[in-house]
Amino acid sequence: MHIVICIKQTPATSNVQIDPKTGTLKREGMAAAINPFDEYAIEEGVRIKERVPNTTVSVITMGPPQAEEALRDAISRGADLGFHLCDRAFAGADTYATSYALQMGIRKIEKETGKKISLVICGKQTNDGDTGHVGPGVAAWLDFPNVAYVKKVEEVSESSIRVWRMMEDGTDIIEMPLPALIAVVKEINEPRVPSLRGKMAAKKAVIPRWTAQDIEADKTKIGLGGSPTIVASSFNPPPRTGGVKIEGTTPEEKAKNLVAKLLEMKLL
Amino acid sequence: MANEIFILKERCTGCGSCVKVCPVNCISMADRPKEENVRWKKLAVIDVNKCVFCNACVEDCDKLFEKTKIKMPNPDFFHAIVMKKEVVNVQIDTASYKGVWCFAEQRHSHLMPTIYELLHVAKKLSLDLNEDLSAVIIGHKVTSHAQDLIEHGADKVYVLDHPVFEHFVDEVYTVALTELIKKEKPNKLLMPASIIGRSFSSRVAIAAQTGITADSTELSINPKTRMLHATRPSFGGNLMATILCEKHRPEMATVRPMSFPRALKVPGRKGEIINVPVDPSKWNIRTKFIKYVPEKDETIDITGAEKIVSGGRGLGKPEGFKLIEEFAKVVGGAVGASRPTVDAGWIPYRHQVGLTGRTVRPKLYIACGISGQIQHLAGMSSAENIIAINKDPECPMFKLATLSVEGDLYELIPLIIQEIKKVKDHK
Amino acid sequence: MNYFLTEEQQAIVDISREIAQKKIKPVREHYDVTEEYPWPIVEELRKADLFGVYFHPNYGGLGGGGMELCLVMEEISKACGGIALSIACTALCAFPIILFGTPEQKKRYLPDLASGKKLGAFTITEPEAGSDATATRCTAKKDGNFYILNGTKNFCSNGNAAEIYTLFASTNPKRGARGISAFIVEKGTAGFSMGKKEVKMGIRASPTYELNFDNCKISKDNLLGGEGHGLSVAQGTFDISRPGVAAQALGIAQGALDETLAYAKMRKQFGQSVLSFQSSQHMAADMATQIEAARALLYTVTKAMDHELLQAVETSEKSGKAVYDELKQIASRRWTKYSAMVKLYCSDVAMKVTTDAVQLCGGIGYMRDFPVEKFMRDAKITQIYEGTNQIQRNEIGYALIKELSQK
Repeated sequence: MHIVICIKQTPATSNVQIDPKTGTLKREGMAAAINPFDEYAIEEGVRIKERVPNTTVSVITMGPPQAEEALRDAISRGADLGFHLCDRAFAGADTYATSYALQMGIRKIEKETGKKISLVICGKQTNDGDTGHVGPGVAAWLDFPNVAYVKKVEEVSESSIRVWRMMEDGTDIIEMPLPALIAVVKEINEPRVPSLRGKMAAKKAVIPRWTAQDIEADKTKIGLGGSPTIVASSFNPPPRTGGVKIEGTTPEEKAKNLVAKLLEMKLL
Repeated sequence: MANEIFILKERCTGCGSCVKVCPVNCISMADRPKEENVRWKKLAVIDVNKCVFCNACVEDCDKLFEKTKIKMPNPDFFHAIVMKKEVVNVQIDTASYKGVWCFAEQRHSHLMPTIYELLHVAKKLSLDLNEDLSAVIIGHKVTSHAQDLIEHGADKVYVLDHPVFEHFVDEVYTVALTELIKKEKPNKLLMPASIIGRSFSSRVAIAAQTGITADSTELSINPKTRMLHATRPSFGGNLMATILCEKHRPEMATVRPMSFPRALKVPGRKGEIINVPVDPSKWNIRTKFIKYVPEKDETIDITGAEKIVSGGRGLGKPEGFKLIEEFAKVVGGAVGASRPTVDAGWIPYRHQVGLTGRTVRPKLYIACGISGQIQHLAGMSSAENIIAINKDPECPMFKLATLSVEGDLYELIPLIIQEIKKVKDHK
Repeated sequence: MNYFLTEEQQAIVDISREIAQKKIKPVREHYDVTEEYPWPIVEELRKADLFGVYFHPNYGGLGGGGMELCLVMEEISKACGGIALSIACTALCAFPIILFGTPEQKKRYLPDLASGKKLGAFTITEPEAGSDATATRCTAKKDGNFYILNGTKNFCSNGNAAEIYTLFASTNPKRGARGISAFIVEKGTAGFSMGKKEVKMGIRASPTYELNFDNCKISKDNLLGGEGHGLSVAQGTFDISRPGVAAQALGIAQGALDETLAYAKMRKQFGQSVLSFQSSQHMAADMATQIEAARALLYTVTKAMDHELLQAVETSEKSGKAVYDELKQIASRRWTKYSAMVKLYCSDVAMKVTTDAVQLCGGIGYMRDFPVEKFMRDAKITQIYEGTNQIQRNEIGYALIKELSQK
């Protein structure tokens, strides 16, 4: 099999901080890491590789030069090859242009490695963009069948995959022939910590850096110019000011006052 | 040609105004090299990798030139940022796209309440545009819902009723909806940001070659351009962005559940029901639906809950959730949890609220022993009313809370439960 | 503080830290309470290659030495000193084989230990023989191509989790200390069984067992380092293993300090943070200084030892002679004094720091809900095992007198 995992480097969530003075997000000095949802995608790819012999796991990302670190991190966690779409022409892409570029990259990976792509795995969404649209978008461009919100890969072979989809009201069990795409949720596995050998391999790995021209991208479909949507403006939502503090000299009094207030606000 | 943006060093005064307007914080002020012999000490630096080429800084810098009261030794200041943006010409006759559409999600032939929220907000959009409001329902044995949708405000209902739609399969729903879009050419299309909506809306957008905004929480029409302004939170609600789709139609958006009230029902309201013929034989469908397994869990799902009682690290021990469950039961709400309690294995993940858990927008959110780390706030800060119960009066949750009670939760909660029961009995 | 770690060493620290913080911290209390063996964590450590850091690449290791082992021990112990023992006990089993093993013995046992496929244990203590190993009663009687083991060993760390054991028994009781020999014993050998499991004060994630040998027959090929050389095998092993205990102690101390500082900063008394009181700051300052001094000593000694050890390991791979013999050619002096100093100092610091940590946290520090008291319980053993700190002082004192006589 040949599995391609799409990842993104995003600001590490543990470092998301709010500037107390302005109430805005502090981005300076924020450490970048693999989008946490993508860690589950990488782990699932590596687990499938451990189940199905002769499987190659490739990882692809689109982003600035420093995003190469995310690819190396993925290799240290068990992926075999990394590919980096890196070109200023990709900048400012929305989900349409991002999924277009990624799928062109995936086609190029197939061509370069000579190994036919069997499965593409994405995380459920990124923690900065939060859309969840890129995975299914890539499937649309590649004309692969896809299932999102996958919480379990029940069966996988060279030719098909059977997955469990997490729905609001239960589980859907779905089968697809390969090639196909899945987007996974965090319930699917517990990602491993990088291994020492993986880390050493990641340091030495040669990661090709491809431009828009390298992947033969249609210039009208990439970057800001190729994005149907644009950010017209952005702003910080007005911060809430602290509300009423329930007073009372004893806990009993406080409880009484709170319930009275809740009734007054018609919340009970 | 790629997009370019750069600073004309000799014109930059280092005033820092552009830093403030940049929506993605890609501009910073650096110390100007000493040898440059310019009276301004600072210089703006743009990180092109982060820049989204929105033009805000360029406009700001140009405007400053007009506004400035500082006497310049030489008028050649400001106008310091140069942007060269690649222009892609798309020729779409936007005027031929008419009407506001809402996708009516159904599960097992039952309508999901999200459609009523969509109809509520879409009604206003359709009135502003003076165009029809339509609902599209795809499913099996769903035709009977059409009148209900009309009574909730739809002028037209497109019904695609066929056994092939019995279960949600991305490919099937995508091709059906895309065919309809291409034929009917709607102007705007709203879909719920539910699991189904999030799954296939982006496939539809790409198949229909248009743009989509995910997870909108505010929607409006610009009266001049007649374009949809879709505002969505990112970074867990710390940054709001308004998104436009200028040249492609339909303008699509998914709408975060619980962001809008439900449309009111007007019994007997009249509208048009269009039964769309479905012929799956020419579709290339590869996915096979095997079966549906219902969730066994009896507890209320937090995502759609109107009331949530959440427990955090302040509980101190897993048994604390027994008290939270009891509290939730009395209030008639679902049980939520902060990440540390889920990580510690006190409660299953499906209860987790926050950046890596579920996002909720209940009417009432009671946070017990949750200090209010930013990751948690990201999942619940848009709740209508927040009640905080905590020992620490300085905790961030108190700053956000509508009502806050300081004290030991093990002391307070049983008393509150008792008090609510008393009031209920009284009624 | 920059200790100029190599790229590999830094990677070891990063990975160990990630496992410690992400995987061990959330479950350490569970294993402390239940005394279950932390198999899921051992699996994480295996997958991350952390069992193999100090083995030669010929056995599937990463080619590091004592320093690499110490880095793993320190980081894991910052989260849980008990779970860290799964690695330390395996090292204590492997070191005698690395130092004294024949090429055949090394080929047979080291790969499984390096991959973590099998865990190891080291057993020397007996009911009557603790610090005084010469009182060993367990016997190994030669019988043709075999030895027959009889007797009881106790306080064996990693007890039932291990599959390979290095064991000390008397082949000639008449010769006392000079009659003791070292052996390799595998789990499942007929006549070898587990006795009672000890209930301990600390390091409760690590099982401590009594081992019983009843006419347990092992091949003569399992003799390690020659008949009657047992004590020198033990001493040679301790020289390079004690820094591992020191690193465990250091990690425990650092872990306790980190938890304490975070709490003391948050905790308010008399309207201000506890850490804002000068008396608290002075305590914290002493704790941090002692830890850094301990770390500086540990790293310096371990790096110096590795300088010679790695060279000896390399030549031994070519010559086929035991590493210990090669070492005698290179080593300017034995390391007993310095390795004793490292173990003594780090473990005393750990005890002092963790006791102060409980004090600084006040009432909550004494509670099981809060991790600091566990650090204190775990710290105590580091002053006791692999030679009590009184024995360490004896060794250092003896070395000083010997040096004086040589001047």
